Order: sequence, then structure tokens, then C-alpha cells
Amino acid sequence: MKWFLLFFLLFPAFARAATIEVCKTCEVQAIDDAIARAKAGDIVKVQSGIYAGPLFIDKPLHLIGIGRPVIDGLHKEHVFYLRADDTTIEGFVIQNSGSSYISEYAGIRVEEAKGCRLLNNIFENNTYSIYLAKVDGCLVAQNQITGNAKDEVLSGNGVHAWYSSHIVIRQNDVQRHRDGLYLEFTPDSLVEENVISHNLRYGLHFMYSPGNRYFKNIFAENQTGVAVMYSKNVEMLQNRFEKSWGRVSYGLLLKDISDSRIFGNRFSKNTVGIFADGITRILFEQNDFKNNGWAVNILGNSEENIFSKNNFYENYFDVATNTMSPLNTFADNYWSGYRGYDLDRDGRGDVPFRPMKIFGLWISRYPELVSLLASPVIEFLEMAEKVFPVLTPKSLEDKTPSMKPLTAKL
Amino acid sequence: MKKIFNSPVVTIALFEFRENIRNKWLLIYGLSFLIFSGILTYIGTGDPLQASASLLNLVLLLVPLFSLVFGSISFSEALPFHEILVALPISRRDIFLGKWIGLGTGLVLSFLLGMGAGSLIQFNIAQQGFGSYLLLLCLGCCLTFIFLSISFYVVTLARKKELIFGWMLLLWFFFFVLFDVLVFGVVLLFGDYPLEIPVLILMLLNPIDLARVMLLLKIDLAAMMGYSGALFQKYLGNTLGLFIGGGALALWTLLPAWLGLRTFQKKDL
Amino acid sequence: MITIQSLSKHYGRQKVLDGVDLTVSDGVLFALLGPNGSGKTTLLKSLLGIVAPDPSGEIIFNNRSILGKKSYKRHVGYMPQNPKFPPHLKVRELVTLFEKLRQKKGVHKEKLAADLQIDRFWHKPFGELSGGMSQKVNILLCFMFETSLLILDEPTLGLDPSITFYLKQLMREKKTEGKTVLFTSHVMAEVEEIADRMALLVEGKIYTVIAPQEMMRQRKSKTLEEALHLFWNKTNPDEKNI
Repeated sequence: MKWFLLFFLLFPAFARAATIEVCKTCEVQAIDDAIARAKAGDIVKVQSGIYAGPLFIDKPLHLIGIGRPVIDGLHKEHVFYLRADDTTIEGFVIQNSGSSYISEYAGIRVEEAKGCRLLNNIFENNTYSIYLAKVDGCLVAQNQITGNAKDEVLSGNGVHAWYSSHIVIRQNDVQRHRDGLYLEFTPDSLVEENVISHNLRYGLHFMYSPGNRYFKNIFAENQTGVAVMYSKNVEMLQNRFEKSWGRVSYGLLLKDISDSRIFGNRFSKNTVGIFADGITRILFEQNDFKNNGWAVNILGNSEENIFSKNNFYENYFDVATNTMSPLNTFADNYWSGYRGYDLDRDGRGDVPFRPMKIFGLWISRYPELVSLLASPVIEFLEMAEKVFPVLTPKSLEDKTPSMKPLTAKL
Repeated sequence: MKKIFNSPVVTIALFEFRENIRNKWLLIYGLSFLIFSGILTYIGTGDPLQASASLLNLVLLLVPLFSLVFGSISFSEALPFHEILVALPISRRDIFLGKWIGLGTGLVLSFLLGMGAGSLIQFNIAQQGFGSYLLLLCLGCCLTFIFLSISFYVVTLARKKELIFGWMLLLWFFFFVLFDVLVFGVVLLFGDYPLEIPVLILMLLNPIDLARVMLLLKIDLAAMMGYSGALFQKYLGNTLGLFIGGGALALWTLLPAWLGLRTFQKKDL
Repeated sequence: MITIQSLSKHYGRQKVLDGVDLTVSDGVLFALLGPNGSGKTTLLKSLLGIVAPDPSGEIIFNNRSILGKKSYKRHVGYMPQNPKFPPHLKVRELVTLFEKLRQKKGVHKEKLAADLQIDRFWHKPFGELSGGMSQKVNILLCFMFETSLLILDEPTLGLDPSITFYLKQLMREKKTEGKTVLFTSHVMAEVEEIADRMALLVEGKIYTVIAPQEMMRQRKSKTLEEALHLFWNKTNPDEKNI
């Protein structure tokens, strides 16, 4: 954040720059012509109209579209190819990048640059919409990004960041790509207030990207909402994970994550709200889990995680695990399935709640058992298991279940 | 129209229907739906998902059990009277179908009234998914006729009247409990193989399971479980699925009824 | 006229009727006489299509084969032994049901109902009727239609004496109207009293078809019982228990 304040403090320096107008009746009629004429730091104003790509930018410039000019990549290479620091691209429609099995073509590709600003553009029908490679400091905001992804092989990601850092992705609408947002080896970045939906694989996918923060995003109807892998010190606050339905669909997939906070999020109507594989010291607090198949499936290789003050409403299975001796803590959560009582009136149930059902265990191992959902045979086994736990861990319990739903206080 | 109304099937069906609505067992049957559905929804108000699952199981338990037992008793008790009817210039088909329709209508009516009155209490569920509630009622009606058909068929086959009641309980136990244990065993034993199609076929082989799966797909429980793309959803979850499921249920209704009729036509009374 | 040709019936391995040949001409009171279990009821039920006889036999009624048919039953009235009527059904409703199913008015309904005093329980369900009351309704259902053949299975069994008298009168009356009345009985005095002709049926076989009076005349006996005793000892010396 500090870095960005610095960036904005330097902003008045642009004011001294010259402006070049581009339009069909202007002196300069082609954008690449304007780029060639401009000096570093100049502003290129493009009036509405359709202009052909690909465009190559090799010096710091500010390209501003007036009245939404369209840049058509004509299905060749990248529509914009940016290899310059401190460049702005704002107000364009950017469409029809190339598509290839070998190269990763994008609507805007930024490479080895510092400080780019990609604002308020509309992306359509690009393989990748924005591709940041080895970029330090880039603001991607208020873009409408719609991909053309039909299968995972030929399609690309909405915003793809690779070996970059200090990226801010804010208030974008990203849909119909392979992954909505993809961050790999991209630490210290901020993703907030985006709406990310209908992506083929993950809404947000990040790996090896420690210190990232994800605030107030909506992930809806992606195959999996968010997949977080091999990272530390991640913060996920107040996001919504909705309607990731399917055999391998999760609201939030956590793999090898440690020392992070997952706070005040809402998980609803996912096959699995959170799937956790090898996570350590993560605090899950004040999240709402509602109408999921499984609210939380936490594998046995996860340790020292804390689930506290979350609300579990009407999930078919609240918690599942594959170990008999889980090492995570559940405390002070509200469980809509809890039928205990509170004689001492301290707001916490006097009988521990055991959120794991045996059928949840079986069904995740043998998916065809879904056909026996709600069968009396299963209910009977469930009851027997409750009385004499054999297959579910005794230690997986909330000793202080809240009697009432908890209202989130952030 | 008057001709249809005066046809022997209708005459016998009407007589049978009237005879049955006077039967106290049918009243008890309807009342039990009223009471149990009321209790279930009252307990389960916090969790409509759980409540609708319990309501479903209530229907799946009571409807087949009562249809089997009441159907078989009613049919076998009526055989001496059928003897008198056979001596009249009407066909045995008319007698059989009339009995089947009249009795089935009586059962369905008392089921619907019981559940319907119960639904006044459970407006919560009705609001959340009126469509699935209607489907539940439809499935209950289908199951009534299916198990009535089965009971009639067994009665026409049975030599010893005293054993019929036992047979009915056994059949009910098989369809309601044993079959699921079987499916469970199959899945656990052969879980390493692709089992979707075999399990789907197994579901078609048990009307109770079929009804349950159809309703669960409707209330999106199974979709939530992650099978929206899977075969169940594909074959049973959509409109086509309703037709496949409905077709299988129709077959389950008609096949035993037809077999029963065939045996009845040759049976010495 | 009813002609029965080599009619047999097996229940599993058990043979109940064994090649029965019998002709019953019109306008007679015909008795099937035999001990319990001799196959009398099975023979009647075969005539009514209640029991399907073995396919080798044949039954002709009014010059037509009737096996597997139903329309001839318009001409047949039937009075079963110990009828079981549905318990919630009212007498009135059953009578209406019969009229509807036969698509005919029970022309003798009023007279019979009055004679038998059925009016008193006309609106009662069968579950509340005594055995005697049920028997009265049984008579009503059989005789209220105009049919050319009446089949009665042990009609006097369990009837109280006054009704028995009425029923016998009714049977004679029908005969004089030119109708055929076929009934079974194991009571020889009754057969002697009312039957024009009788067939002796033992273990599924017909032993003789004769007028009871003729049988008594031939054996020079005062009662049919005695005549039959003599007949039986001559025919089958080993068998004494008729």
C-alpha cells in the first residue's frame, strides 16, 4: 500500500506532458503512428472508432480512449504489447487476441515493466485478457473482462500475473475465462471488490504468492471459487463464495497454506465450502457457511487450525475429515444442527456438538452413495455412529457451541 | 359419458371407493399423515432441508407399507365377494380393475387429505419449494398404486391366505431397508469401478429409491452434493429425467397390475 | 338345456371332478346329490365361470359353449353357499350394485323383499346383519332377476325353517314358470321332496341320473335314503358310508 501512495504522489509529473489526438479525421489516424511520434510520458487520446491491433508500446505513455474506441487484435498475437514503465491504458474496448497452443496471447500483455495502470477497459474474446509478466506495481481496476473459454486447454485467464509483485486488482468484473484471476509467484498484492463468475476452472487461483490480501470479492458459479496453493500470510476477508457446484467444486480450495486468516467470508451453495489439504495455523473466524454440501472438508494433514465463531447454517454435512485424530480446534461456533441445551444460560450449549457425520465420510470416498442420500438405512447407521462412535473421530467436536447465530463484528 | 359412468369398471370402482372411505383404517392412515407431518415440521423448523428429508421418509415409509398391507388384506378378504361378482355377466378384468382403481383412489385421497392438512401447519416448506412439495405428493400417489399393484399380484399368486400378511411385511422390508443395504454393500465392494450406471439401474429397480432420488434431485440436495454434472442429474434431474423416472414408476405400477390381472383371470375362486 | 361333457377339474394333483357327463333339460328342478367334498360346488362353479375346469371338458348352455364366456350369465341367477358381503356395504346399495352390473331391473325385488321382510334392515350395512338376514339377501339377489337358469349351492343349509319352506316354494314356482333350477344338497329328504331329477355325485364321478321317485320305485323303498343305500351297496359293495 505504501508503495502505491508513492506512485500517486508522483502523478502530477504527467501534467507537463504533450497530448496527441488520434481519430479518423485527425492528423494522426493510426495509434501506432501516434505511439511512434510520442515522447516518453506523453498522452495519446484516441477518439471512438475501430482501430486495428496489434499495438506495441515501448515507452512510457498514457493511452486514453475517448468514447470507447475499439482495438481489434484481428486474432493475431497480443492486442496491446507493453514493455515500458509507467504506462496507462484506459477507456478502450480490447478484443480478439490471437489464440495459439504455443504462445499465450493476451488483450494486454505487460512484460518487464514497472507501474502500469489498466483502467476501465472492456475486454472481449481474448485468450488471456491481461497478462502481467515480471511486472512490479500495476493497478488493474474497473475493467469488464469477458473471455471466450470453452475448454481448459485452449483458453487463458482473465488477469494473469506471473513473477510480478505489488499488483492491485480492484473492482473488475471477470467472467468466462479459464481462471478468472491467476497469480503465480506474485507476492504482496491486493485483490478487492471484484466480481468473478462463470470461469471454467477457478475464480481466483494463486500459487507461491505470500502476503496477499483478498477483500470483499464475489466468486460465483465458478467451477471452484478460489484455489490457494503453497502460500503464507494470506488474508481473505469478507469475500463471498457462491454456487460452485460439481464433483470437484469447492468454494475455497486451500492447499499447503500456513499462517493465514480467513475472516468474515460467506460460503453458500457450494458442493464443498472449504476444502483444506495440508494447512497449518490458519484462523477461520466469523465466516458464514450456508446450504453447502459440505461446509468444511479438512484433511488429516492439517494441524493447529482454529475454527471459531463461525455460523454453520443448514449444510448437509458440516465438517468432514479423513483422520481419526484431527489436530484442529472448533470452538464457539453456531451450528444449526445442534440440538443441545443451555442450562447455565451462558449462551453456549452444555453438550458438545460433533459436526461430523459418517455418511459424509463415505460419500466423499464413494460418490455413488449419493443415491442413498436420506435413506433410512443411512440415517440408522448415522444414529448408531452417534451413540457408539467407531469411524468418526471423537475429538472432532465443538465443546462450546453457540446457541444463537453470531453476528459478524469485524 | 353416461355410458362410461355406467360401465362395470366404474360401477365397481365407485362401490369400492365408497366401501373404503367408510373404513376406519383409511381414516387412521390419513390422520397419521396429518400428525406425523405436523410433528416433523414442528421439530424441524430450524432446518427446512432436514425437515423435507424427514417428510420424504415419512411418505416413503408409510405409503408402501400401508398400501401393501391394506391392499392385500382388502383384496384377499374380498375374494369371496368377487366369486359372487364373477357369476354376474361382467368380466373379471372389470372386477379387478374396478377394485384396483377404487381402492387406490381411496388410499390416495386419504394420503392427500392427511398431508394437505398437515401442509397448513408446514407452510414454511410449502413456501420454500412448492414445486417439490407437489412432486412429493405426486410420488406418494404413484407409490400407492405401485404397492397396491404388487399386493394384488401377490394375493392372486398366494395359495395360503394366512401367509399373505407376512409376505407383505417382508416385501416392504425388502424395498424399504434391505435394498438400500444391498446398494450400500455393492458400492462399498465395487467402489473402485465406475458404478454410476449400475447404481442408476439399481435405483430404477426399486420404486421407493427412485422416488427418493427424484425428489432429492428436485430439491437440489444432490446437486449440492456435487453431482449436478453427473449421471443422476443428467438422467433423472431434468425434465427428461422426470419422464424417465415417471416412466419407470408407471412401469412399476402397470407391470404388477397386469401380471396380477393375468393371474386373476385364470384363478379359481 | 345344459350339457356337460367329460368335465374334469384338478386342484394341483387332487382330482375333484372326474369326467362328468350330464344333461339337464329345461324346466326341471334338478338336484346334485352327494356327500361333502364330492365336487358338487366345483361343478356349479364351473358352470358359472368361477372355477376354470380342465380344458378337456365342455359345457354347452342354450346350444353354445360357455367356458370363458360371460354373456350367458345374464340368464343365470346364483345363490352361493355362505356368501360374504363387504361389511360396510348396505343392503340397498348391494341390490343397486347388482342391478347396475346386470344392467337390469330386479323385477321381483319388491315382492321378495316384502315376503322376506328385508325392508326392516334395508339400510343396514352387512357388518351389522345376522347370518339369517344375510341368507335372506342372498335369496333376494338370486331370485330378483328374471333368469332362465337358477343355480343354488346348498340353499337350505343353515336357514331357519320358515325361510326354508318359502325358498322351496320359490324353487317350485320357478320350475312351473318353465325355468331350470339346479341345486346341490347332501340332504336326501329334501331332494326326495322337491327334485324332479337328481344326479348322484361321489368323488367327482356321476353314478346315476334319475328321478328320485323312480329310484325309490325301483328299489321298492319308502325313502330315498333307503333306496340309495340299496343302490350303493349293489354298485359299490366296498363303499358303505353314504
